Amino acid sequence: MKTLNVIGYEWKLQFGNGASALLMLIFAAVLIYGGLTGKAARDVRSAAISAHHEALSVEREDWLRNLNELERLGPAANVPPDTGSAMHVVFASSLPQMPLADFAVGQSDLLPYVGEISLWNPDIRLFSKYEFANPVALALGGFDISRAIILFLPLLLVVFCFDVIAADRDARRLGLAVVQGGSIRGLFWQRLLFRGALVLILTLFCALLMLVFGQQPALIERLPAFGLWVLLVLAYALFWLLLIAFVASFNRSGVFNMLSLLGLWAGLTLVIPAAGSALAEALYPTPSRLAYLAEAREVENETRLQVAEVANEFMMDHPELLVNQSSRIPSYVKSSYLVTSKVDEATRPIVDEFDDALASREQVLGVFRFLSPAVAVHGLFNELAGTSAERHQQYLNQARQFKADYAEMAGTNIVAMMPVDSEFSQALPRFQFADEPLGSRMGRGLGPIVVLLMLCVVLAFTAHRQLRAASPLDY
Amino acid sequence: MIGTIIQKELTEFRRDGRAIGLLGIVGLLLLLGLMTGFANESARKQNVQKAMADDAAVFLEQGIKNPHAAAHFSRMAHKPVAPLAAFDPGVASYLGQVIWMEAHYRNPAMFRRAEDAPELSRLENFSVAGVLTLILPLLVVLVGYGSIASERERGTLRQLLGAGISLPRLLLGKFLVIAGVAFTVLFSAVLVATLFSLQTLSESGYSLFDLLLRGGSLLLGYGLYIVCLTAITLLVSTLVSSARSALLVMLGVWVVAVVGLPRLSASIAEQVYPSPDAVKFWQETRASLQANSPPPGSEDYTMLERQVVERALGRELREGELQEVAINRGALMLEVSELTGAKAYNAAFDELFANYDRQRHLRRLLSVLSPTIALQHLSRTYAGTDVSAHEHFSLAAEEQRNNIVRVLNEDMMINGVGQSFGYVASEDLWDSVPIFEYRPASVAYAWGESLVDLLVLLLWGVLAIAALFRFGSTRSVLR
Repeated sequence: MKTLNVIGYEWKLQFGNGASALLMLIFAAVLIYGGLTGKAARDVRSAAISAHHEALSVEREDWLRNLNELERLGPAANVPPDTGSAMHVVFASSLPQMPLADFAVGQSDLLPYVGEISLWNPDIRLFSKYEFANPVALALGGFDISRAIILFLPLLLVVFCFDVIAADRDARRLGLAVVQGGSIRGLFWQRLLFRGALVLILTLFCALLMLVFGQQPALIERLPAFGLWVLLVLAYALFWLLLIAFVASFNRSGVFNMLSLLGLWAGLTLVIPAAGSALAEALYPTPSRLAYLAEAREVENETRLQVAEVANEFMMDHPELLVNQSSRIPSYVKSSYLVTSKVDEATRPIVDEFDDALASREQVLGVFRFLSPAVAVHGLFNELAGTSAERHQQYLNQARQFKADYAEMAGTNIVAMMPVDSEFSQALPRFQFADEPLGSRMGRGLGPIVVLLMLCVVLAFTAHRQLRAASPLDY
Repeated sequence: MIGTIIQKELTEFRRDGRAIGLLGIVGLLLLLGLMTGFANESARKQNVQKAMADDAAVFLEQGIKNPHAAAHFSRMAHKPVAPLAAFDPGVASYLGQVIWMEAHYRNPAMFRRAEDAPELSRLENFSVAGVLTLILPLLVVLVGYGSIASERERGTLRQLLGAGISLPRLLLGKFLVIAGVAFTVLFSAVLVATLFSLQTLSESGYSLFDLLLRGGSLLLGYGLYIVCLTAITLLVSTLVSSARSALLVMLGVWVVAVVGLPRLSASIAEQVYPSPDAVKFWQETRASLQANSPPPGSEDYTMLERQVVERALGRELREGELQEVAINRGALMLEVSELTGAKAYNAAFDELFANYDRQRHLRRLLSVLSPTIALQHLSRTYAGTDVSAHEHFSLAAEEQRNNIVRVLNEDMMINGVGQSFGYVASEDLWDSVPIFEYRPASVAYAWGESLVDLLVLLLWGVLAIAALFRFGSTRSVLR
C-alpha cells in the first residue's frame, strides 16, 4: 500500500465523518476564542497603561504650573502652601506589553503591571487598591490560546491517534490491512504522522490567524516571538505524538490505549503542576503579608511618635542641610517622608525574605519542568508573552528601587522644607522598565525542552522497536 | 433480587484492578488536598489572629494625636478564615485578606494570597473540592462505562434478563453500586474535612451547628452531582453500541463538561461583563464623588451639616443654631465629606459586586450545559469562600470604617472647638473606638445564595435519572 493510499483512506475514515469534523471545529473554535480573550486582556492592559500615563501627565503639568508660578512670584503666588515640595512628584510606571502579550495571559491578570510611584506610599502600599479582577476567572485561570494548547492539543491528538492500529486490531482486520503490501511499522507511522500533522496544521493555522488579527504591534515585530512560540508548540505536540506512539506500540486494545493516555494526560497536565505548586509552597512559604503589614504599621506609628528624633538623625547624616524655618510647606510633608523612609528601611528584610522564598520555589519548580512538558511550556509561553511572574516581580523590584533612588535625590529638599527649583524639575527621572533580554529569560527554561526532545527520540526508538515484535499473523 | 444484583456488581468492582487503582489514586489525592489545605488554612488562621492582635496594639499605642490623623491611620479589618476553606478554598485566595478602614476612602481588600503562590498554581491547583469535582467523575466513568455495554458484548445481558431480572431493576442495582462507591468516597472526604475544620472553628465566627449544616449541605450538593454523573454514564452505556464507544463518549463528556466548560464559562462571563481595571475604577469613582458632592453653602450641604451635628450632639438643633453652635468646623467639614464620600464609594462598590453577580448569573446559565459549574458555585458558597461571603465581609468592614471615622471626627468636633486641625486627643480616645467583631454570614445566607445552583443540580439529577429509566429500560438495549 502506497503512502498516498494510506493518506486517502485516513482522510476518508478518520476525518471524513461528521463527528471528526465537529471535533476539529470545536478545537479550532476554542483556539480562536482563546486568542480573542488573550487579545482582549492585552488591549485592556494597554488601555489602562495609557490612561495611567495620561492621568499622571496631567497631574505633573499642574504641579509644574504651580511651581513656575511660585518661582515667578515668590511668596505672593496664589498657590497651595505645599507647592514645590518634591514629595508631591508622582511618577507613572508600567510594565511594557511584549509583542506576543495576547498569546498568554500568564500572571498579568493577577499581578500589578501599572502603578503610581510616590514617596507618600511606603513600599507595602506602592501597588495597592488594584484588586478588582473577577476572582472566579482568576481562580480558573485566564483563558488564552497557549492554555488551550497546553490542555486540549494533547487530548485531540489522543482522540485521533490512540487507535492508530488498535482499531484494526480490535476489529481483527490488521492482518488484512498489512497483506495488501506494507508493514505494520510503515502503516503505524504513516497513519500517526498524517493524523498528527492534520491536527497541527489546524492548530498553527488558528495561531497564525490570531497573530495577524492581533494587530498591535506591527506583524513584523511579532514574528520572532511567534517563531519561537511555534517551535515550542511543535516540541510539545511532538512529545505527545510520540508518547501516543509509545503507548500504541504495545499493540493492546483501543480501550487500554485510551485509558493509559488519558491517565498520562491527567497526570502530566493536571496532577504534576498541582503537586509541584503545592510542594513549592509548602517547602518555601513566603512570609505572611499580614505580618509585613503589621510591621509596617508599627514602624509608622513609632516613627510618628518620635518624628523629631528621626529628623535629627537625618540632619546628622546631612550636615550640609539648612532647614527653611519660614517655609510655607506644612511640616506633615516632612514627617510623612521620614515615616515612609523608616517603614521601607524596617521592612526591607521582609521584602528580601519574599524574594528569597520566590527564588527557592523557582528551584523546586525547575525540577517539575523536567517531569511535565505542560509545566515546561507553560513557563516559556508566559516568558514569550512577557506575562510571567518573574517579569512582574522584576517590575515591582525596579519600581521600588526607582522610588528609593528618588527618595535619595529629593530627601534633603523635603526635610529642609525647601521647594524645588525648575532645574530640579527638569532633572526629574522617568521610570523605564529595564527588560531582561528575551534570550536570557527563555534560556532558563530551555533545559527541560532539550530533555523533552531527547525523550521524544527515546520514545520514537522504543515504539519502533516494539512494533517490530508485532506480527500481522496474530490478527 | 436487587440485593443479588448489588452483590454481583460489588464483586465485579472488587475484581476490577483499574477501578481499585483509580480509587486509591483518588483517595491519595484527597488526602494530599486535605493535608495541604489544612496546613495552609491553619497557618493563615494563626497569621490572622496575630495580625489582629498587633493591629489592636498599634492602634492603642498611638499616643496623643489628632483624631483625624488617627482616622487615616485607622484600623485593619482582617477577614477570618472560613473553617471549610481547607475543603474548598474557592476564590478566597483571589480576594484580599484585609481591608484598610481608612478615612475618606473605601478600600478594596488587599493582599490576595494567590499573588504569593507559584505561577504554576494558575495551571492547576488541587483541593479536596477540586479532586471531588474533577477526578471523582473519572472514577464514576471508569466504573460505569461498561456496565450495560460490556454485559451486552459478552452476551450476559440476555442471560440476566432471561433469568427474570427486569431491566429497570438491573439498572437500579448498577446505579446504586456505582453511586454508592462514589458517595462513600465523598462522605469520607466531607466527614474528615469537617472534623479537621473543628480545629480552626474557634475564633472564626462560625458555630459548630453552622459548620455541621454546611458539611451536610456539601454532602447534598456533591451527592446530586454523583447521582447525575452516574445516571449519565449508565445511560450512555445502555445507548451506545460498545463499551469502547461508551468510554470514548464519557471521556468526551468529562473533558467538555468537567474540564473545559467551567473554565470557558468564567472566561465568557468576564468577556460579556468585564471587571473594571483599577485605573478606570478610581477615575470613575473620583468623578462621581466630585459630581455628587454638594457645594459648601448649598441647601443639601447645610442639611448634611445639620445631620452630622445633631448626631454628634445627640439632640436636634434649633432653627439657626447650626451657625452658632460651638463645634470644630474643620471636623464638621471632614465628617460631611465622609458622608458624601461613603455614598459615592458605596455606589462604586455596589456596582462592582453587582457586576460579579451578573457574571455569576451568566455562568449559571451555562451550567445548563455542565452541572460542574453549578457544583463549583454551590461548593464554595457552602464553604464560605465565594464572592458573596467576601461581599458580606466587605460591607461589615465598611460599616465599621464609618463608625471609626465618625467617633474620631465627632471627638474632634466636640472637644477641639477653636483649635481647628491643631487639636490632639488623649490616648483614652483610642480605647473608645469600637472594635470590629465580624460575624460571618450564616449557613442560611449561603443557602439563599446557592439555591438556584442547588435547583440546577437537582434538575440535572432528576433529568438524568428520568432519561436513564426512560431510554435505558427499553428492550432495544438488547440489540
